[in-house]
Amino acid sequence: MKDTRFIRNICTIAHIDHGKTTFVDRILEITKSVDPRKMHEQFLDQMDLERERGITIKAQPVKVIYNHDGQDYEINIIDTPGHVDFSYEVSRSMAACEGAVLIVDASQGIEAQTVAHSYLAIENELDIVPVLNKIDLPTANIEESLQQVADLLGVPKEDVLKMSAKTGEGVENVLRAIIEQVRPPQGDPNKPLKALIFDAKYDKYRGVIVYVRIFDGVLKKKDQILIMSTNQRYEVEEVGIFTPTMVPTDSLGPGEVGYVIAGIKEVSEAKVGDTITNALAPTDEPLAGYRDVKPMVYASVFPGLPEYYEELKKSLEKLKLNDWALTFEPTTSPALGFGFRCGFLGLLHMDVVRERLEREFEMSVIMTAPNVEYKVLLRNGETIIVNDPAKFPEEDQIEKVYEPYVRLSIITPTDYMGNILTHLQNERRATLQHMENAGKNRIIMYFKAPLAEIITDFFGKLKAMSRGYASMDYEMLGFEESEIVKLTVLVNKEPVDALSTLVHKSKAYTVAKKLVDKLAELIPRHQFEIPIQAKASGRIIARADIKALRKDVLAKCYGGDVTRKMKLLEKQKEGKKKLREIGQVSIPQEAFLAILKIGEEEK
Amino acid sequence: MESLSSTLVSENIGLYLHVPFCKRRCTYCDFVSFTDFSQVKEYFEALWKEIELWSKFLPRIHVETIYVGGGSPSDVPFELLEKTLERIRDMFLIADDFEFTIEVNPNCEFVERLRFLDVNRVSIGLQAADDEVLKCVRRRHSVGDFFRTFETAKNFAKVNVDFIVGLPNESDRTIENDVHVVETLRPDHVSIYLLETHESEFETAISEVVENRYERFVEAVKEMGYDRYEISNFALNNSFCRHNLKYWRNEDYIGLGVAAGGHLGRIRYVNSPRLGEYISKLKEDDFVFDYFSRNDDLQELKETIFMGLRLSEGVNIEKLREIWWMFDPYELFHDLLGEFLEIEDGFLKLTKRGFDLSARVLADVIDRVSLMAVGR
Repeated sequence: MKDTRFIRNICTIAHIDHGKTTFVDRILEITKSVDPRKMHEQFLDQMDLERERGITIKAQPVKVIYNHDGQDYEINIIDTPGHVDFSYEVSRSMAACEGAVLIVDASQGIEAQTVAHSYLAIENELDIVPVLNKIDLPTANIEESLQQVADLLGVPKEDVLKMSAKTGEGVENVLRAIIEQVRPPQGDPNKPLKALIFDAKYDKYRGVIVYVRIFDGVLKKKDQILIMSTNQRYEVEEVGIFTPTMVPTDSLGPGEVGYVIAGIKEVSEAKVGDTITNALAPTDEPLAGYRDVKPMVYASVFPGLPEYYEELKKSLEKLKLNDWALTFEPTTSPALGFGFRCGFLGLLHMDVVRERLEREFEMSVIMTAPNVEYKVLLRNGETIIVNDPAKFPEEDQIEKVYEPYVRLSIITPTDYMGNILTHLQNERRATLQHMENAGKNRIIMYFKAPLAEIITDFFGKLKAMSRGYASMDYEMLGFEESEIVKLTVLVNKEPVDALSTLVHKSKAYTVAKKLVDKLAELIPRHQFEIPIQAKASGRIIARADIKALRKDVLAKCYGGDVTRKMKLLEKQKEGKKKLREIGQVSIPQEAFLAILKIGEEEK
Repeated sequence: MESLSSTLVSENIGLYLHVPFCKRRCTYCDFVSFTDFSQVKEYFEALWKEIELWSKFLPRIHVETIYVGGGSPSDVPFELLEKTLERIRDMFLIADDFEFTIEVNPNCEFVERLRFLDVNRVSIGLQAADDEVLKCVRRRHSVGDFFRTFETAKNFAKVNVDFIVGLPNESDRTIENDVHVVETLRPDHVSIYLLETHESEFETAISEVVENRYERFVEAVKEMGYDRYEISNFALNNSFCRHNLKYWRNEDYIGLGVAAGGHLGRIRYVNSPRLGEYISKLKEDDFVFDYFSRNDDLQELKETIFMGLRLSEGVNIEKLREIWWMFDPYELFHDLLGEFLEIEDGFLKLTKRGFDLSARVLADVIDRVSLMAVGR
């Protein structure tokens, strides 16, 4: 059993692109933990997607041995995801550590996420080692950034370390600080086993590999273990550590970070934040902080071609093995056919799923505009949860509607503050709650805002309004009563369910107008005039007309043409509604797609 | 081919010859044509062979109309056309009052020589009376070329002028020019086509602007005294195109050359659109059908209606009943009659609105005829 005095467990906190991954790469090099021949840049970002996007989605732990004053220390570094969608995973990574290295880009300064994650680290009582990175850059604003970090943590400027992960300068100082400033883990090997799951990955040969931090007790091969929230028992096949490649060991003891393989079939059986204990000698109390994280954002996914439905299903099932947060259930759309209604943690998660489907499973998919989940209290006293506009109840059945709200924090240079504030208040239904300085000429603003307003194109809009300088973070506050109405679109007086959307009453008119105008543009003219109407709360609130087509002349038709032209017409009639069905309008799939995406720009 | 001799063929037929060569393709055209002239000679030899083959099957037939279309017949060596006509005269009996049409691009010198071929009808592809529009669709002539060609042609032949509405760079002004050309030259015959652009497989995309221009052009030509005897065709003083009328009345005609089609009795055929195949098969004294069918009653009925409704005279309902005795337009089209179709003096025809939406109306009409036959 390792002497816990010589173990340090730390995580990294940094904004995307602030150099977290490069920092870890450098440590691997200094401690000679990776064969230089195998070392390729950004060793820890394993998935192609992560490497390509340069962002870390999944935490990948690593153990290094560092000799400090003649003593070998084991340092476990947990590389945290850097995006708001995964903040729960971040909090669980932190729970597995005693310390955190806060990395701030000297040319960018602190960002909203850094602030949010620093507070999370303070809440988790982590010993924080603040580091300014990229000091070699000509654009580095060292003095200003030092002040920001010092202000954020309430420490003297001198305590903030300086490094360049790229050149290696100052990295050893950080290693020394980790050993000197972060407290060693504690734990009793004789107590019942308590291990925290902070991540899990699916491996097609070995099943689920669970990443754990041992708090009390010992975990070894052949142990009978119990996952506490599900009450499922498994037998341990292998335990080991990350060097960062997985190396089997005899056992894992208190303070140690490693992995367990125990015949678990999919990652949703070993959810992040859950506790593993020994089935024969279980602990009474699981570790605190476990939450069953629910999707926040919903969208429908359809195969590019209808015949690929089964393949899409299989692909999603495979993705699910490795993505505990993804949910999906079958759905249908008159325009797009059979597909799946999927739940995601947030927009990035949604994007990642789409890209992985396209890359790993070679599926081309159509994804509809995302929306949130609403709680509806019906007149009959029942409460239902709705995430699909088509399933929203009729107005006369509704007593109250609740929608999810978030606390949104935004850090921006003061120059752009006015615009952002006005935009959020006037167009995103947000209310400013609090603001404070975040360094020279920078400000942090806290808003309460409906999640629905944030999940659409807000991030892009924020970047545009601030020339890329502003950053954001959000956390869930819960559901609040809201005036949500269902906007129904009527094409030629007939409601088209697939075109329904849910909007706040205050925006119903503008969204309705844009919807009908867009549709009028996309639906081809028919031989009769077609009114396009949008209805909310029982009233028509917007209308656009598609003028009648007056000419559709079958121009030239000669001897050699007869059969060809007749075949052409016969083919056309399949797509076109016959004159007999004069009241019916054919809506091309492109129109549905454009409308389903309209929310991305307009809501 | 036994079925061909057993089929009922009238004594008079039309003859169509396809010349699938163009020095340059116009952007809007979807007729079969090639810009490689290396096989022109071989092609014509194959064509002569085809004339010979047909004449063996139809030894006593009278040819009433000849129509040479393309492609650009005015792009190939004159001697080849000359020889072709010689073959036709050798192989078939030509009616005394025969109509002989040839399609030409505005080209004075070529047209001048046509009178020696006994051509009596010249169809000139002007398309637009504006040099900018012509350049844009890669036509090779100017409006000036057209005027000279027209003057030459009218000395010895009836003249048709082709126009297309909906071309790029077109404007209200260029359409006014088109109208002006018809007004001043008063050709015997005018064709006004609405360019078919298909946005998707099923939808025809025509802007309101183009609709208005087409409407104005058509109305102006009618006001000048032209008879809109077919959806896109207008004639002065009954100068109808007798050859095309055979198509629309679903009478007998044979088509010669690549992609050409014919109708003889109940036979409907289309030749292969592939030049190499056409040439090599005919070298072996063989026809080159890409489509060949002996129409059953239903198919014959559909084709007769489909083509006949293009004419303002419509289709003779009695003639349709001869093909299919149960055919009842009143029942089949009850909800279209009035708005899109009408019945007058025993003829079923399109209304003005039916003409305007002919693609849709015809699609529906044909669909209903098919359903009628399966008893639904």
